[in-house]
Amino acid sequence: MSPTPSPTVRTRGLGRLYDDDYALVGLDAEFPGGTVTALLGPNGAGKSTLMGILSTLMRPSEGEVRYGDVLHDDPMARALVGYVGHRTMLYRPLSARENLRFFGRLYGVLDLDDRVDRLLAEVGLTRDAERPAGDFSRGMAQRLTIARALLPGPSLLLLDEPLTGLDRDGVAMAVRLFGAERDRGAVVVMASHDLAATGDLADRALILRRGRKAYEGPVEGDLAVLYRDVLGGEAAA
Amino acid sequence: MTEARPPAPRPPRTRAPGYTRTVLIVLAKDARTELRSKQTLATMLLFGLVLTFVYAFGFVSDPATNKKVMPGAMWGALLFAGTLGVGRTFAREAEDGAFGALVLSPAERSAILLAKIAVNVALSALVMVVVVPLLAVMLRVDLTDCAGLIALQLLLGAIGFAAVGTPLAVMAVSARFAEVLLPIVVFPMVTPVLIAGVKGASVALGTAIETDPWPWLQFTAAYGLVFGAGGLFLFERMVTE
Repeated sequence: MSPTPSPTVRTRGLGRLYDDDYALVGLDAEFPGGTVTALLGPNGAGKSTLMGILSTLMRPSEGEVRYGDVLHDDPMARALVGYVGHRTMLYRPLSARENLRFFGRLYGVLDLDDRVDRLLAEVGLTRDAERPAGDFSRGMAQRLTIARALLPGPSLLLLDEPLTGLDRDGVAMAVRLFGAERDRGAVVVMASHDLAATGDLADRALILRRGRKAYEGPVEGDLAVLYRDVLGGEAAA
Repeated sequence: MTEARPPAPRPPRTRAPGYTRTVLIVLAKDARTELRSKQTLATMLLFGLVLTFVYAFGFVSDPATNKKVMPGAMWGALLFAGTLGVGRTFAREAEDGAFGALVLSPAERSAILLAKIAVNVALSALVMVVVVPLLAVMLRVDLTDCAGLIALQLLLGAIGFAAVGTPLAVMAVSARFAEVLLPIVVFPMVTPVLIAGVKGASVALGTAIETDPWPWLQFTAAYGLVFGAGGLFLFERMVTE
């Protein structure tokens, strides 16, 4: 039996104002369950702002976000989201296992010990499970960050530069895990400058330019070519 | 040939923790990190001890004067050591952005704040357990008859101080110069608690004109309650950009 896809995440007229500047303007977009959407755009295009809003860590200045029937400001929305951001979001004094156990308890994950053991194994940190996260290299911390985001089995997995600091094996591991989340039915949104790895995963792309939508649709063929075709000279920025 | 995909993982079963359990989870985590590093407690304690020695050597005089100095010295120590503690409330969360993951969880956000307030109260209380008897010895003030009352006043003061300061400490996560900004914002707001505490302790030690310490105690308790409730109510708004 194939898994039931998570409800589509939709934005309508989404805007975000910083002081007098719009980082995001009137964005209508859809992120269906069981797909990976590559979120692309040059620096300052509004990718991180969109990720911040979708994660519920930021409030939109205009418009709305719906996670299926759940609205952005509904506390229930938080339970749906797994987020890998620019920072590791870990507690340095706590071991890898303690970090996962702490967040697992906050999410109310049942069978937590089994879940933590499995995730530690999947991200290749079983042997380092009792070491403080503060002693980890950037790549190891990123592996733990990915495990933290996957811990509650999110309906919406937001990945903002999730491959940062990972070696080749780490990138392969991350791509495999993100693909498995997609296959489980989760909505996966991934912003990364590694177009090759993103292209291996992405079914769809949302390309932003100066806070506005430049492209939304399927990825057919090479993601890097699509990106260059849409943005032209701006693609290098 | 297309590689066969492994079977999709089943999501874990979850049941969001209740309010009390969330408080306990965050408390346990903070206790664990503090016991491991002892950074905040050691800093507060050291600061409290330095203040104690400064007060003791600066003000030591005849017994009657010492008795008058004692309330100000106690509450000064609580104010300054408490400010250090409050300033570090979210220090662990600020290091690598764990604050984001904390408030992103489905746990009740006000329960997270309540746990943080409790941590600050506990740290201040631990510091006062060391500082106040030491002050009493160095200033040669006998607290035997009013120890319970003084302890209650300081506990309520610590609660009031933490209730005011802890929600504001969230500034430290995002604001620049938060270490400088926090005392500037917190000190005027805790001044009423400080005044009530000093007055109440003076009454307890018999150096004030009034003889009834309860109005000061009630004021301190009410202040903590009002600011605590306000902080819990507003915290949700404060943590979302």
